[in-house]
Amino acid sequence: MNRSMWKTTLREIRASLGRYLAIFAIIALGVGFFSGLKVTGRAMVKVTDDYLKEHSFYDYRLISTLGLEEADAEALRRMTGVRAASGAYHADAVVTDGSAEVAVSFHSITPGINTPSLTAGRMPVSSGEAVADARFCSESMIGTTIRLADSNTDDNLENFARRDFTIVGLAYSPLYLNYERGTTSVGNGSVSYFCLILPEDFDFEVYTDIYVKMDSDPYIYSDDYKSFKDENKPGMEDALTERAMIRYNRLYSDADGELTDARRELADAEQKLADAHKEIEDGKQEIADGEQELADARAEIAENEAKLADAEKEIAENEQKLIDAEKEIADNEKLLSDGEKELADGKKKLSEAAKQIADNEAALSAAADELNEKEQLIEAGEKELDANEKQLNEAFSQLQGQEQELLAAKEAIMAMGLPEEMAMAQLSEQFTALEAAKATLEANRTALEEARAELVSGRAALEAGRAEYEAGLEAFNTGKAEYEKNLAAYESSKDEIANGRRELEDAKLKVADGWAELNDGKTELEDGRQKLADAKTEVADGDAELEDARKKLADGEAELADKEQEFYDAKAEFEDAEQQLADFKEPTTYVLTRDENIGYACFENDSKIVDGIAVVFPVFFFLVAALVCVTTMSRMIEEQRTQIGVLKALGYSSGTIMAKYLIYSGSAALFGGVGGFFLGCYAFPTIIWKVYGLMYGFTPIRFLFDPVLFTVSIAVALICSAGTTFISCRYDLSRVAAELIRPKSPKSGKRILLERIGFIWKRIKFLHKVSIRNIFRYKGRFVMMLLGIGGCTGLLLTGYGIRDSITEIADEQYTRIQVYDEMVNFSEALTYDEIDDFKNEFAGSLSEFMPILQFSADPVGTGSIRSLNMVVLESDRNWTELLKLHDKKTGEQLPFPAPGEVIITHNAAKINNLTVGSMITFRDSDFNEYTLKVSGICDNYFNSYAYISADTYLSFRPSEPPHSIFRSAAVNIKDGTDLHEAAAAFMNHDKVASVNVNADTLDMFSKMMKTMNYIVVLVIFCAAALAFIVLYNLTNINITERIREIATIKVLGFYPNETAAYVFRENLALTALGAAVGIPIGIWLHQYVMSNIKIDMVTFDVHINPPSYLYAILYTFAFALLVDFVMFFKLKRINMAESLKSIE
Amino acid sequence: MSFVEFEHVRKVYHMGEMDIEALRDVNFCVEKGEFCVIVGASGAGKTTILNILGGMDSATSGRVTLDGEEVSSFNSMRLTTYRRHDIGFVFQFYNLVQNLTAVENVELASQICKNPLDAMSVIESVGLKDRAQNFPAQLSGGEQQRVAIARALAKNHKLLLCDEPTGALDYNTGKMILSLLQDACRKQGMTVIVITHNQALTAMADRIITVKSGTIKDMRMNDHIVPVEEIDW
Repeated sequence: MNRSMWKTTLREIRASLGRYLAIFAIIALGVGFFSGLKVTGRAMVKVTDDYLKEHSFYDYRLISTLGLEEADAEALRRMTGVRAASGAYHADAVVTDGSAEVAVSFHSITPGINTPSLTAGRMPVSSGEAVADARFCSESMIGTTIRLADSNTDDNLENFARRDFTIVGLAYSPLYLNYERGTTSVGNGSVSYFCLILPEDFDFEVYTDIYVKMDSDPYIYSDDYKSFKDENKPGMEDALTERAMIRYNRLYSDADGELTDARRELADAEQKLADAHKEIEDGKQEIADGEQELADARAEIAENEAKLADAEKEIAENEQKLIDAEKEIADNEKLLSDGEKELADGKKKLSEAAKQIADNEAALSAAADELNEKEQLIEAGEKELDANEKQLNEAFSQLQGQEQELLAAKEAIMAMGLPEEMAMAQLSEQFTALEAAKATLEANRTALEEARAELVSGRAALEAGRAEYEAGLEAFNTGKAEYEKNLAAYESSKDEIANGRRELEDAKLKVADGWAELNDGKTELEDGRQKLADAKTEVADGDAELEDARKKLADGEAELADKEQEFYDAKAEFEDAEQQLADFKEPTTYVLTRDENIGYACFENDSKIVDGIAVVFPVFFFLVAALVCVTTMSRMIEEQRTQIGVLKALGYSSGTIMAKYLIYSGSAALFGGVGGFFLGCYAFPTIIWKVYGLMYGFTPIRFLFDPVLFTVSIAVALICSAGTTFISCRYDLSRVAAELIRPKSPKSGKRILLERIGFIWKRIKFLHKVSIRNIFRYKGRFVMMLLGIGGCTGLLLTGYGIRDSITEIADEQYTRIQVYDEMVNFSEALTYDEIDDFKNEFAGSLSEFMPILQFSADPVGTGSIRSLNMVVLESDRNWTELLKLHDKKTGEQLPFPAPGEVIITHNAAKINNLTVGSMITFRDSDFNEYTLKVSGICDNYFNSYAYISADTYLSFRPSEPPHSIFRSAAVNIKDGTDLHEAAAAFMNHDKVASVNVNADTLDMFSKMMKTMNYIVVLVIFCAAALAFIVLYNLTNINITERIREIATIKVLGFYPNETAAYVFRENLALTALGAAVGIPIGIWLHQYVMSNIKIDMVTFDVHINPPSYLYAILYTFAFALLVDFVMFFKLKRINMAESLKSIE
Repeated sequence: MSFVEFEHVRKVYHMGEMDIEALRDVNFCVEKGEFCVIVGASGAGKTTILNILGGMDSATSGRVTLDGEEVSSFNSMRLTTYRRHDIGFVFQFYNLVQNLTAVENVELASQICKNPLDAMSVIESVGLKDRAQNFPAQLSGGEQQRVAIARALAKNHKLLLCDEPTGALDYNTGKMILSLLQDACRKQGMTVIVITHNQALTAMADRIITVKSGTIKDMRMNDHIVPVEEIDW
């Protein structure tokens, strides 16, 4: 090739860029699809292989029924070919985050084997930290605490060293490659997620498993790996059996020794119990003593109390007495003072009396003198006036007597208490009388003379006076004696008073003493009272103490009873242990391989699905690509016929000329192929991995370059383009130049078959006739259009069909099969009474209720390792309201399983090769076997179920209590009651562990399945690309080829839309035909793809919804119209003058 | 006012960076019912005139009127309508639709205009009654050109434009085509404009316009109209 050939080649490309790009695009699409789909399966396996290598996924998992020990792991590590062996713990438990309870699988972290890949947070470093399942837990869980729920059995809780775990990170584990978390005997039977915790947080005595990783890493799923695995398995089995037996023998002898010890311990315990009994008896006696003591104390207190009361009374009396005495003293004092006063008066009277006495004495002596004088006088008078003087003395003595009388009278009066005045009045009368007497005396003096005579009489009077005087003296002496007597009386009364006073003083002193004594008594009383109160308190304390002692005794007794119970339990346990030891069997061991890991096994299936899809799509695309290349290149060569002729005429060799076209198509194919290869190898694995992320997604997909695939893809692309170019060119180049230079005679118009059917043909509008004839004018292009457009429709239909088949199964499952609203899981098996109570309690919201028991069971001897859920149905009373089991074939409701019969789900029947009437044996996790006859095969999409009646169940489990087997219930909620409110109400019931609301599950599944829209989008995109490339290319060829025709009709005055209609009517007709062809293609393709997608958990409902057909057709037309729209502008640009000027 | 008028028509083609002046200051007129021949050497600009007059191209400046309507001011839509109803074309290479029979080719035109003549009778009038159902590839050049003329005539329009209608035909066939065109003019009163490089044909025209180097060199009426049969070239 020379320079001008290169130039013309490059100019050719530039001039017909649309065509060049069309080849580029169709090749890119074909190669992209082919290589992308081809590489996806491998890339998935590769990335998984890398992942499993990186995380040291186990080769063997060793299990012994007796458990395994570190020494066993050590022994395994020493085996040749073993890289690592690590003991692991595993236990399931019901976990609560405060509200809901879910079953969680706990695994210990095993360093160097099955290492998790952390996606968030960190690994646990200290006890109580856990890493949770990255697939089912959100990052918001990090930092929260989960707790082993109270509904766990003690056996379950015993497996753990603690109950609270703080989530510190999220991770994927190679043990769980896919979404499946398995089933469990705890909670509702299905594991919600796993948790990895430190080994020390488990409380197992022995490892539950030992994981072994071998030295070599053959590629996963390869034959190499399979033979490697099989070769090493026997060695593993031998080693495991040996280790298990060592453990068995040691355990046996240990247990034997332990039993001996236990026997001794039991004897000790018995002795201790007897001692304790004795102690309690003693305690009882002590308490009785204490009681007696207290009773005595109480009696004493009562006595003392009486005494105190008496003392009080006495004191009160004494007080009164004292007060009386005081009063008496006061009275006496008064008396004394009165006496004293009297005494003083007496004294005064006495002194007066003494004076009077003295006076009287003087008077007496005077009187004696007078008497003596008078006697002398009288003796004189006697001589002279004896008579007078005698008279006078007589008178005088009379008077004296009178005065004396007066005084005496006065005294008498006074003594009589008469007033003095009266005395005085009398006295004055006396005195007056005295005066009168004096007068008389005067008269008598005179008369004395007379009375001289009388003196003798006077003498007599004097003698009388003397006698009077003697009488007076005697009176005086008597008075004096009286005075003396009075004085003595006074003195004595004075003494008496002094004595009284002294006595009073004494009495006062005595009263004071009495008061003091009384106060002392009072104080003493107070003290007594205090003492009594103290004594009472003491007694109360004694009571309390006694009560405590009693309580202690009761506690002691209770404790003793507990201890006794414990002892009997221990004894029973011991007896059990003895029995157990007698029954102790040699351990069973299992060597499991990776194939027994669900995630690993499923992944192999799933990666094969992609390979399956990869078979049909790419071939299809390559076919279309080849066809497009053929049409495009043959058209190009036809267009360039003249030029080829000219070049030939100029002497260029055929090879050189062909090189131009080979370079043209080859370069387009090469660029398209390379571009498509890399785009496909990137996009397809990425998108498909994203879709599979639902189930896997433990690690990001990596770009995988496959040189062989690359070479093959490019080679095929080149063959498609350059090969077809070569064939087209060879025909033309074989002609002589002259022939080529001459214009090729235009292809003649032809009548078509339809024209012969006159009555139809005549009815067709003229312009339509033209279109119909044009459609059939080029057979090859017609076929290509049909293929391209049909392919487009087919792809769209497949895409939508995949979506229909997958996304609707959740809906089907929960609205047509498991039609119950909620599944209530109880924390334990409920008796019928409890069930009735529950029903009654929630009668307001429940419309249907069916007790159910679910557990997982494995089919025995069918070659399948997939366990399924056994569902035990209570009765056929209302089961069809809650569970609709339709016959897979007829769609009719199946009858309730009779005793000994089982209804099995379609997928389970399929993998276990079961038909109606065949027998199947299931084994549950406790190794109970159920041999059943299949009575029906039902429709089902999620999981696998085997439905049996309660009668059937009990016939295989005679030891089960027949009245409490149901641990769950399927319920319907009354219309108008909110499902979640009802569920929350159930949850509050103490027997309810969890409630599954089907609507929520459906919602979750629907959301997951929505990811399937990625597939649909991918397919729509591919279909659009296919339709666009094919339609664009062919329309382009069509227009170029018929440019004169189009120019002509434009000249004839066809409006642009008429012109477009003239051209595109054919396109639309072909699109319609293509779509019609595409529908069977799509149906077939969809069936093919779906038959290649097999997921164990899920059965797809392979069907296409009617609207999907419509979408597929509408999209196809939309793409066709889009192409027409683009082409419309090309039509508009056709220059009539230019196009018509020269001949082709 | 004449039936066809060109006033100071100028046409410039932009070929990349170059401007090529195809027409400059073209002025001529043709009266209704005339048979007009525009003659000139290759590249003189006669096809450009025809394209502008036929509404396939538009003038850069100047005025073109047909029957009082200013064609030069039409937009592309109006031009299409103009082509549809007012103009018939006959090309050197016939430009028949290969996939349609003779009569269908005529129908293709008659389908879209207002007062079409009956396709079959037009085919008959050009003497192709027997070949009416044949595809173009089954017809000779002359027959094809007759179909083309029939297609033009069937539209029953005002003006028939012919671009070298005999250019690809032999002498006798050419003559037959020309007489057909002349008949259309004389019998149906149609205005016919024929473009040719052949001076000989001017003899049969009513009006002869000579184009040279993109402008009108001469326009004259033919005083001695010679029947087609008598023309020799």
